[in-house]
Amino acid sequence: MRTTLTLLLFFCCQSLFAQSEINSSVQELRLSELRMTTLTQSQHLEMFDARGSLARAEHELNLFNSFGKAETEKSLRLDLLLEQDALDDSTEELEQLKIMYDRNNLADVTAQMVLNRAERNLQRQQISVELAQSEITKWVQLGMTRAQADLDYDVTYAKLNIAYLEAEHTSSRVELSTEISDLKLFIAELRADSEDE
Amino acid sequence: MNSLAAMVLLCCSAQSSELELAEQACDTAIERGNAFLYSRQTKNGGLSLNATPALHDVWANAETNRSWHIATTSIAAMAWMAQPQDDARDLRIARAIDYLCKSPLVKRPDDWDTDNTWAYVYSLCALTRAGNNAYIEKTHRTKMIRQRAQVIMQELYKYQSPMGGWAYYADETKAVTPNWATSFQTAVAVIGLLEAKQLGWSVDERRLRVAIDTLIHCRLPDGSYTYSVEIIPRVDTGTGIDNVKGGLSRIQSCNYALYLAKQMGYKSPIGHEQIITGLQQLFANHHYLDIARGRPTPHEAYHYNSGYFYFFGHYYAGLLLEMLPKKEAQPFFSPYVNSVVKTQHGDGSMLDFFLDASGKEYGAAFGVAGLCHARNSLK
Repeated sequence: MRTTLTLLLFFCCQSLFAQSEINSSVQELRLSELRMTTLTQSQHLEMFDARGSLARAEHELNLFNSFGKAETEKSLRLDLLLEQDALDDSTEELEQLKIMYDRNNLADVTAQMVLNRAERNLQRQQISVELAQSEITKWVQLGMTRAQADLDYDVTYAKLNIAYLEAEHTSSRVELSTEISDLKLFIAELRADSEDE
Repeated sequence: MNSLAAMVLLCCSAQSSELELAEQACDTAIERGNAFLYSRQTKNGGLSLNATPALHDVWANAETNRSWHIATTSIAAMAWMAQPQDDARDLRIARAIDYLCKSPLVKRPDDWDTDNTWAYVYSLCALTRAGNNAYIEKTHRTKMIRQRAQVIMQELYKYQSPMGGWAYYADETKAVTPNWATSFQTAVAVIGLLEAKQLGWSVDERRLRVAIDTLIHCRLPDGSYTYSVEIIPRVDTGTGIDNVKGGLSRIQSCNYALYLAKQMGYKSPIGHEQIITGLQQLFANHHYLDIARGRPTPHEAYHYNSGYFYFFGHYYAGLLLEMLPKKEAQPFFSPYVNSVVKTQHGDGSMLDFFLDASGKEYGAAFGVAGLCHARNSLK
């Protein structure tokens, strides 16, 4: 009698443990399926972003090739022109100032001070002209090539990024998919064992 | 034919009636303005030196305020001297002139602030007018005013910019002699120097000639004058100040100075024709000054007009009217009187820009002086 009761208790406990394991595995399966949904959505978002980056990089590259190269050079040449004009204006104004001061002949330290400042302004303006000229040379000889390379790099990077993401996404999905299949198989085995018992 | 004659008569009668009304308004405004100015003359002869300036007064520097106070007293004295002889007024003129002669010279308020020049130019003008005043001569003040004028002229010369003129800030260089110069302050200085020369007082002829040439240099093809003495003067396009709309008051002061110079034998482009054009420009564009008058921030109105341009310009317009033959001055008289009288407050004061210490006083002094000269144009 005692042996029978002990066996009955053993089987009851075994059945309860088996059911609990099934429940736990089903829960794990649901979680994995939810992870699959999230993974799919986040991969869509990443791909959207990566394709956007590629489109922008290609647009910038096209813009640079169509307008940017020429416009930047033109703009730098305009800067040079403005600086040269400013230099001419300063030169003319200094000449006029000298004429005016000479004509007025109100010899004063202030006059000399203003003339000195105008001379120094002229010297600064000459440096500005030289810098504006150097900016053009820098652009034509170095800057343009560098800008082209940067933009090419951006396009290539965006393309490679898409390729990488595609591979990485597939791998992640396969990995999770396998995990889900394993879980499903495990649950089926548990249920079969439970029914046999 | 009869109706045509009647219409002509009616028009003439209407014009004559308008002129009479303007004359009456002018007389009344002068009397009321005088009453206000008399009430503001203190025992020492000066006007309105405010010992307790308001917190919101635009300028905190005491010496700058003293410069404006001296200038205001000078303009008030000029307003009284422009009127027919009157015993009571003579006493007030004498007290004001004594005060101008005996006050300590206004010092430079700051390294960047040379507003002391306003005291110099206007007290010089007041002293030269006093040099022609019978009561001042009768009371043996002539020597005193001539000596004081000499001192003031020496001070004024120290501030003549190498550009040839005068201005009231030196922030460009902060040098002992400022480099910045304006056309309109130069005009006031030139008027004072020319009047001093007329009296036979000793004037530095070379400096005066340079100042006159500087004013001519400022004159633009549209008849206006640049605000500052520019190396290369040009008319401002758009909403700039260096054109007729931004220079209505400068036109009057500079035209008067250059007209006076021409009268005294200097080479000058200003004759009756240019005076009339300038006055026409003033009244055709008067709304720019009307809009600016009373605004609290300098140069905030269209074409950078400031409130304080108003009476300054009208004063010199009044002087110019006096220079014209009666027939040519007459069409301007009514609009001129109207433009000044409409600004008068109940207490007889006039205000174009808020200055707690001297705003109403310089306004009334300029207003009354301008009306007096304009009234003389009808005689």
